[in-house]
Amino acid sequence: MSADEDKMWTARLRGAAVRALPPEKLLPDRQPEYVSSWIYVFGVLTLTSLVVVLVSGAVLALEGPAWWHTSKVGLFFNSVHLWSVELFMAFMVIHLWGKFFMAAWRGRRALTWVTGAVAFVVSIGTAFTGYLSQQNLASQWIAGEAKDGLNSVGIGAYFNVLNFGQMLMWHIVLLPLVLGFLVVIHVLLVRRRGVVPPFPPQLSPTSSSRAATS
Amino acid sequence: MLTALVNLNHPGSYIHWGFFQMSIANFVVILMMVLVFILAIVVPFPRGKEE
Repeated sequence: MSADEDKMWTARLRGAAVRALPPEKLLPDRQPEYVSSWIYVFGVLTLTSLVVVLVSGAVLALEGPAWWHTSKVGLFFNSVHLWSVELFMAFMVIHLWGKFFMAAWRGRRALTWVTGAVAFVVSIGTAFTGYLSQQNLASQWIAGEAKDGLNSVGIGAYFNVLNFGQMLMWHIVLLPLVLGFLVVIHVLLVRRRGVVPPFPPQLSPTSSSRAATS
Repeated sequence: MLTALVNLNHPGSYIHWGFFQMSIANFVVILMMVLVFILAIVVPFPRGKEE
């Protein structure tokens, strides 16, 4: 990098980005041997279902509530949106279980774990506001039950679950933006730090002393 | 017209355990997730040709 380029923030940012995530690390064509297990598939299954959630949600947003409540195609996309969310949450929880029992925060991966955990919490909020946006008896019931809980912790004035417009905007704008940001950071951190390796085999005291004497 | 495999046209059933209460539908989903988790650990992963 020349002295002139060194002064440009764009050149410095590009240099830092390429150093942190070189192309072969960003999009690798080889994975470690230990990744060949079904439990490592659930991260990408979660991402795949998230794509279906976002695409079906975008179609619903294009056409609007009257369409998704009345027409056959609208009802179909409404169902696709619901069931992809069900799969997204299920895959994410199985991914979480797998990573918890692997202690996936080992080896400077704490931020990967934290962004994943926060993305999980934000997903619950996004799904919750989605249930509130159904415009049916279930959503009225959920809102009526939730308002007491949220009022009791003092946030009911800022996050009013009885306000359909506010909940719809949280569901389709604010929370997806936060979730999308967290997911991108989470995936980039996985690419930067790599997939967590399994625990090393634990030797019993007899086998380790035998190994030391041999 | 296909009908549901399980008749859902009735109020939900619940399990009770002290103060704990959960619908059977949610309980079945959690059991299925645990089953998938166990299968993901024990079922061997298909391997391609070794290089």
